[in-house]
Amino acid sequence: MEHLNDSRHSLLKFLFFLIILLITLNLFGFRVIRLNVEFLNSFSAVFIGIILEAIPFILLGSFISAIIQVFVSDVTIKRLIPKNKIVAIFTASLLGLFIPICECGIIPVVRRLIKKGVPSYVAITFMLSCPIINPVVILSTYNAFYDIKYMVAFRVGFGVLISVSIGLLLWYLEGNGNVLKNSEEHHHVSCCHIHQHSSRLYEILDHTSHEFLDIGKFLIFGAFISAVMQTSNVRFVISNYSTDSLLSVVAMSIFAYVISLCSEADAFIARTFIPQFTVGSIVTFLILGPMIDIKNTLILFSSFKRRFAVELILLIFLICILAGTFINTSILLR
Amino acid sequence: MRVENILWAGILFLLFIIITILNFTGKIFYFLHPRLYVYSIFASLMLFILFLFEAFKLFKEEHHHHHKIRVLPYFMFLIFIFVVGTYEFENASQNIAQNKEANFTIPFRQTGGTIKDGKIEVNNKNYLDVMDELHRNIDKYEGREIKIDGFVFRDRSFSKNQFVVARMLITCCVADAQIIGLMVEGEYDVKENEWVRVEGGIKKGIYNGEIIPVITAKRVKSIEKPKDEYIYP
Repeated sequence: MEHLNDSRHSLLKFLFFLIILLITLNLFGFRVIRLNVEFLNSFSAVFIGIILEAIPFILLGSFISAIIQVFVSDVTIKRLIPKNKIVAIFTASLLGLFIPICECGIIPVVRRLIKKGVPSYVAITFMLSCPIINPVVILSTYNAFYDIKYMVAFRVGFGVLISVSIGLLLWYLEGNGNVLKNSEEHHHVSCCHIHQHSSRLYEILDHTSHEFLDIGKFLIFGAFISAVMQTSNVRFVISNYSTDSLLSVVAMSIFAYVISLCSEADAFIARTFIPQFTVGSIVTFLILGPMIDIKNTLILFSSFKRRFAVELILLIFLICILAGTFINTSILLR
Repeated sequence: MRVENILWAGILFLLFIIITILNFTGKIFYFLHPRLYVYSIFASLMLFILFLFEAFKLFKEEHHHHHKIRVLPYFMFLIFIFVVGTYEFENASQNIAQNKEANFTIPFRQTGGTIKDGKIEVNNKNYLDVMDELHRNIDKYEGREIKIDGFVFRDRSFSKNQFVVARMLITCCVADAQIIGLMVEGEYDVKENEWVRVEGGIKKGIYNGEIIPVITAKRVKSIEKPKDEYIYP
């Protein structure tokens, strides 16, 4: 089991040394990033900000995951899931209305649900739609686009539609196959702990603590990259493609992925693009961002099998870009 | 295993201290909108509970498993703690202003009506109402006097005698922070990022093809940074 951890850690180590290399290059005069005091201050502000905003939700997600682990049995889950798989997928896509978890905190919960017997395609549908249907997110989208309210409808409508589509596609592609990586939990399995003496409270706190460590390290790394992106000149590069029906959508989807915004804040950033960019591209930004970004990718690869993670990311990109382009071309037809 | 336990307990404690101090001193509001305050308090509590739990584990007699010690996860947390330790909280507005452009429209509709007669005195409470009203009905307010505070913001596209008397607006978190304010035109000796009080008359001006309210200032005075730097809708 250890070697699986090693491969994951060698990736992190590689990226870590890459950063050291970039910084060293800068110090020797090769200006890869403009490493001056202003950049550092700006970067630090965003880096700290992202983490401070996300930490409560990661703790919450870890806690909920621990509660599910301790209190909800596989049998209960089996009883709760609708027998008809299509109904199950649709239900999962709407559950987010009642469950206000940020996209950062949701992966441990989803991972736990799959372990408890929820079919992976149902859990993934929930994972994709939850950050978009979140009532707080709907509210902030409504606030940001108060004068073009149809954007809210586009975001929620296409969000649900796309998460259901991906759920159905995964059902077809994966069925009931195992998509989780087995390597985590090794610190429970391979230890010689005898848990008879552990109370439920102990279990809950122990799981919460471990999840927080697991997910937290990816959050911080993702926040690091996101802060670099937000302090760099990515926006200027993107704006070259702002009016093309397809390229604007592609550009915004890459931007959403790379900038890794929390789904509660992204509506206001998206708003600032309205004058320049096509409607479809902004909708894609609003949908793809909550579903996948750099922060999530790292967590995804640590929780799920690599093949599945790649498949999921490709599906998300493909379908979101399709949706955005569709919006653009059908508006032009009007 | 024990080393990892101690390290993690220490990190949890440091995180708890950082967030609690930020909450207590109000510095957390450089990064978050006040409505998210309750979540930050929750985080503070959870971290304390988890710290107590990990400390408790240290004192229990456990079988000692000899794992290879994985330091990298803890390293990420230490990087965060380090960055917080070296960050200059006093310059928060200016730090975030680096990469932003000025927005002259408020991203949401305000419910305030027409501004009362006389000199318009802008403060934190009526800031958004005044801004929104001025932008919407610029004709009604031409020639009126106004007094407004802000930090000096200059964009590369501004001419030498333009600057914005700006404030930072946060709707949720740092990522969506925007610069809002009024354009000031004239020859003034101001340094970027210094806090000023501008008093003068309103007129119509153009920026990027849009009509915006512009202040021709009679007086531009240096002031102390206000206690509440940001505007929170």
